[in-house]
Amino acid sequence: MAGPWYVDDGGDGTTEDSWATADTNILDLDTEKAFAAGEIVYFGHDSNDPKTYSANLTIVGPTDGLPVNFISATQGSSPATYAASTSDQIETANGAYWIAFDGSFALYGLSMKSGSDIRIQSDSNESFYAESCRFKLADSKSFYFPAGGADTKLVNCVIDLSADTTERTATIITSPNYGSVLDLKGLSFVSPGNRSGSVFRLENTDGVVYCSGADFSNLRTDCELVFSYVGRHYFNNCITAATWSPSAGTHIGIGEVVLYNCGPADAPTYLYQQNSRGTLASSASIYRTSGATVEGDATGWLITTTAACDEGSPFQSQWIYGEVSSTGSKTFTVYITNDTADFTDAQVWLEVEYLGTADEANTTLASDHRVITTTAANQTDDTTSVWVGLNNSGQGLADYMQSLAVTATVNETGQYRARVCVGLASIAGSRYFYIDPKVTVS
Amino acid sequence: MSIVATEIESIHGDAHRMIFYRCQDHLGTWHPYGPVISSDPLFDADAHKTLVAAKVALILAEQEAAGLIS
Repeated sequence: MAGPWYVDDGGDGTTEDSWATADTNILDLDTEKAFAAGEIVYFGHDSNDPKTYSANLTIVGPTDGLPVNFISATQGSSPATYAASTSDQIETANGAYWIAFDGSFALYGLSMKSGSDIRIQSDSNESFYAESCRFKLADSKSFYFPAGGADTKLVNCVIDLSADTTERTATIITSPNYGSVLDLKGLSFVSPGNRSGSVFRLENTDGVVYCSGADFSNLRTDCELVFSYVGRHYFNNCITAATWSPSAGTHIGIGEVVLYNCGPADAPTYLYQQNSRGTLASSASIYRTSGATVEGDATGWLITTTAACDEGSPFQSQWIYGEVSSTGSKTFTVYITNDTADFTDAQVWLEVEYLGTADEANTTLASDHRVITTTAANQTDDTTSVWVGLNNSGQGLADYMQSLAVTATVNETGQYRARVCVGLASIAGSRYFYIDPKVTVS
Repeated sequence: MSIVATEIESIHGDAHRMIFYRCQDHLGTWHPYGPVISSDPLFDADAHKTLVAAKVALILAEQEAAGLIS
């Protein structure tokens, strides 16, 4: 391991081992030095890349082991002192050239401006980490994340869309695929109103995105958070615009979007789940009296399903967790409503996983789903519940209130979990099918 | 694939609205869009139908190109 190396627009480019001898741009340094695992490259905090590029820029990092570290530091500081940059320390915008990172990298406070996309091309034995970095995309271009099982993390980074000349439908982030994982903390945007496409998009293969603490508040109202077929996207505690859309596109296979506590204000009840079989969307306006609350706020779960939903491939709600404090026969009950017709035990049922064996960790699964060869029977009528937000303003009726119940012998106290399964295709929002996600144990 | 009709399929809630839309293509098939979620009292769900129609047309064109629908 050698270095540290320096990049600064005031350097003379001779030995690259000090501010005075720094290379003026990363391409020249990368051409001279094959970056090794653990090496450090300092970038002057106010340096602007002066190079006139004639091709796409691919910066090559270590192919395994530790990443090479690119650190923005106060120009001239010795020892080098971290200072996040707002200049264009790497810039390929003199032409329509992308910036790509191929290998293992850790970037701290770096700022770059691309003439096209920005691409992370790490492989399965490589990693990419960026902290407090700014990535400026060219007009209508995207930020691409890797394929091939790579591990990519961005913390408190900014995607700058101010180069868009007008509103564009292009995707902002093309999500990772082929088993790669993208973990985003504290993502924010400059000029997000310049895009009306999707923020995240994954079309064909199975990448995973985890995103928390992001600021989507200035996105346009016609901008979806996710457009995905197969990818999986999980969001929590993100700020949205006052009007927004969680997702679009047709999910297939394992594709899924799950969001919780996302909204224009603190939204502890907020939950959204969508996959190929249906959608669960929480409501703070429609709920059952004395039903579920989150941090004191009442909530109900609206369910819709797609044509791909069936008794043999049901839409399954998120798990609802609780605790049983005594052993013995227990009945787990969940209440539902809709305005069209009673549901049968072939259409909607409750599943409960509980501790069915003393001193054992494994759970037992029970449900009130019919035995598959028996004739379907209506679930139990509920004549006492009161649903708030229905039966007014033409927004559906709580005419068909029912309960789902599972009775089981609990032989070990502790955690249980329950979920509602829906095996009926094409339930539209106009059916006003709501679940109270409070499990009553008696 | 062109969109010939767009309508609000259902609205849920008042202060915090969830609006489900659906668009009909020229073959008569309905395609859902949404929910659009709004806590903005000034949000015009009816006026938003124009944007929804454009979005769904774009999505269908992309899905057609990807071979997911025909």
